[in-house]
Amino acid sequence: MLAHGDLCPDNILLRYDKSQKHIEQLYFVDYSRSGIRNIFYDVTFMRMTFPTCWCIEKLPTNFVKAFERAYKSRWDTAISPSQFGSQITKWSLYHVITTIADLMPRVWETDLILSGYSLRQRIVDRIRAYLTIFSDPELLGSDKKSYSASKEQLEGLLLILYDIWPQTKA
Amino acid sequence: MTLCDVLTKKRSLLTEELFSEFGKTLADFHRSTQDRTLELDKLISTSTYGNINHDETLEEDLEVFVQSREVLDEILLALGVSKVSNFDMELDVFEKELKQLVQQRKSGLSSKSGKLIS
Repeated sequence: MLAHGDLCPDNILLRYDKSQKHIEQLYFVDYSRSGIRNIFYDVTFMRMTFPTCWCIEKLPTNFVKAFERAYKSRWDTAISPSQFGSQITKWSLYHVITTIADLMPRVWETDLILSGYSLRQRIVDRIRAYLTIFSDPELLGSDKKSYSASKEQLEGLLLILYDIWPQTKA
Repeated sequence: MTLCDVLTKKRSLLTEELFSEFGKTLADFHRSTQDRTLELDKLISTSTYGNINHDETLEEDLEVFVQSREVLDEILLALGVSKVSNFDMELDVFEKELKQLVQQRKSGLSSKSGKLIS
């Protein structure tokens, strides 16, 4: 299937009905990074705080859950709950590992702020976001054991990052 | 208005309903491409944007993952973080899945079967 590949907040247009005060329709623009790939590359964008984007915001868990539940509901039974949870876990891990590798060398000496959001904080928030999967019974289910080493590894790394970047802990 | 505007300037519009709508719209978009893989393959194989080749996104995802693992190893070493046993094995399993997707696409299997995930 075709994945958008760059589902950034500035690539999502909203049509707002002023009289009814609600969002009528969403449109995706900028397909420059689209291609045939695993669709969960896109689906995990909300959970992993928009990994390829400059305009980002850490979303409250209930918004992420509302997004994921609505996404899953559209597939009816075509994606089983365990398949959904497993794919969310894998592609969140993909985004967290690529984030660490991409951002960490850039902020090794000094933090950088992009659109009001520290890059060090982005790394820490994405690791945290990955770890929340393990306390979500809806998502992981029987796959929990399959990623227990990744969980332990990233928990260990997070503690070190809290130590060297105490401001990211809050 | 974009979602970026909502996140930065019009936060009163940030609601669960908005994200629910977002989830439905994304699912509809993905589903709409499900039965058109062959048609899209043709389009994508001849389409480029800048230096991005839309036909090789799976290979790129794999390449980025492989390179990221190497950088992550260096970072863990530099920070003195010990490798958890089985961590590499878990990443190997995922990497293998990515390689299989690339192979399936190269051999045209994903197009013919209309596979859900690829």
